[in-house]
Amino acid sequence: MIIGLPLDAWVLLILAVGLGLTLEVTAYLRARRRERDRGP
Amino acid sequence: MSSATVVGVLVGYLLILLAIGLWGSRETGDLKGYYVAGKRLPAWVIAFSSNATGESAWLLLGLTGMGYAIGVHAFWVILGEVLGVASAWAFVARPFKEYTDRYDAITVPDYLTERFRDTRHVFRVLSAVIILSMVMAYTAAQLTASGKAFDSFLGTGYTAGVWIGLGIVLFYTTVGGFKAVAYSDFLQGALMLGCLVALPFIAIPAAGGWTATMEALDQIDPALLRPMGSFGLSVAGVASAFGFVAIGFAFLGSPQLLTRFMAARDQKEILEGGLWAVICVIGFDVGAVFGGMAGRVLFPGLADPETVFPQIGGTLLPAFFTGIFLVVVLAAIMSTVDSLLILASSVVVRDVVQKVFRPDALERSLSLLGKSVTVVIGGAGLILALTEVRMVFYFVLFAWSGIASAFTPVVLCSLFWKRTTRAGAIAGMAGGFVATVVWALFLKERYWDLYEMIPGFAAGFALTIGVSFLTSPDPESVAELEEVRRVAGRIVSS
Repeated sequence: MIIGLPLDAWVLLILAVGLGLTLEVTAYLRARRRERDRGP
Repeated sequence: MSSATVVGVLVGYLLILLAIGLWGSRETGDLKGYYVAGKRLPAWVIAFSSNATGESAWLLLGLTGMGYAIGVHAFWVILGEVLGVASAWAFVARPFKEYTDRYDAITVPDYLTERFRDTRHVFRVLSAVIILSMVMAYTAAQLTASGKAFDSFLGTGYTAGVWIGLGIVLFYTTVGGFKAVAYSDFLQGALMLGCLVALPFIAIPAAGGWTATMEALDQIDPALLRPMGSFGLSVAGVASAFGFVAIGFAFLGSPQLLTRFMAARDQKEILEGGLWAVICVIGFDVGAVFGGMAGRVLFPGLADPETVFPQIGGTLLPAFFTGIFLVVVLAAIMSTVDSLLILASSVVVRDVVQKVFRPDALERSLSLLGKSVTVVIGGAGLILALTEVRMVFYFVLFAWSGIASAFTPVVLCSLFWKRTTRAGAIAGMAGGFVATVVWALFLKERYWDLYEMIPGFAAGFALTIGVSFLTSPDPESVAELEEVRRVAGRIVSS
């Protein structure tokens, strides 16, 4: 147990939140960079 | 329980919704205004509106109930929903917006008709059948939740609760159209987020703190703290986990959610909206599951796990905040019902009446017809809800998967695979829907209770791809997809 929850439960929770968040943040930053590279 | 304070908070909230309805009515003179608010919505509105629509009373009652009943096993739902929402905004939203702006489409059948050059209105008629049948079931399930919520919090009786819930939604949806729907969804989404983020911070300390709560859950049943729950690592366990993840697939192509992308002001709003949407759904789902888990410690003997949320609100909080909890349940219900009503109305008036039978009809007349159809569909949902009381959780998931299995495989193939043909798309849409219904009614119990969205999606994709390979795509459509890909940013290619 790690702070009340088993390790596998923590892994699932971190995956559940982190995977989608990482995907969206990555897509957002890539799109921003494309806009910047395209210029005015 | 009932108190003047709770009623006061509720009345205040309902007056705000009525005011939003009147404010939105100025946009409803034509179909574009009534069904997509003139395509002028900003990022924060489309993000919250999309999530509030997708997350109905199922989130407040069903997902908290899941946290209560199965604990950590409900984390698979969080995984599916966060990934589904993120993927929709990251991959689907921008090309879909680009396409629908080119076509000046205001409904998903509009988009499919133009995308596949369907001159025989097959997509429109098929969409009407699927959407109307699923919207009736979905609306009835939400009104059932409204009846349960009013009865739980205020002791009004189930029937009165159903009538009150429908009455309010019908007013602001009929009068205010999609603008009222989207802005009220924003208000409701913000209330839901605030409440669900606060929920574990209220319930866990009341249960003795984090460590005490987890230890108590372990005492009640160690499976409550295991990712595979009481199934363990077995076929049934994997089927259950996968089924929960699959709930999130629907965010990729359900028409009531895609409408938000169409209604965005421009591509820039979609970029901003994605971040809001993902943060919002994380708050919703994590709060709901942990709130339900704490509720299992606080109220271990509940006959219906779906009442854990009203129990926490009614028992642990002063009357003002109990009122807020009731408002949030209603917010979740109304933010879904309003979008379903607008969706069903649009498919009848725009996709069937205007496009198939009366292309010369005046926009003003069609807009009035749209409002009448909204009322009729709401009435049909009411009759179903009053004649059959049912489990919110099960019927919402059935209707959610029926719509998603019909549209999502076809929409995804149409956006990303240039080999998709009209025949393939029609086969996929019909097949996905039929497979979902047949599985849910006849096969589910025999095969590990596998959630019907999975065979529905499998059939939808198999038929779309299989039939497409047997037929030829329109060369104009292929060139158009490449052009959209270039404009909307790099997309995964065929």
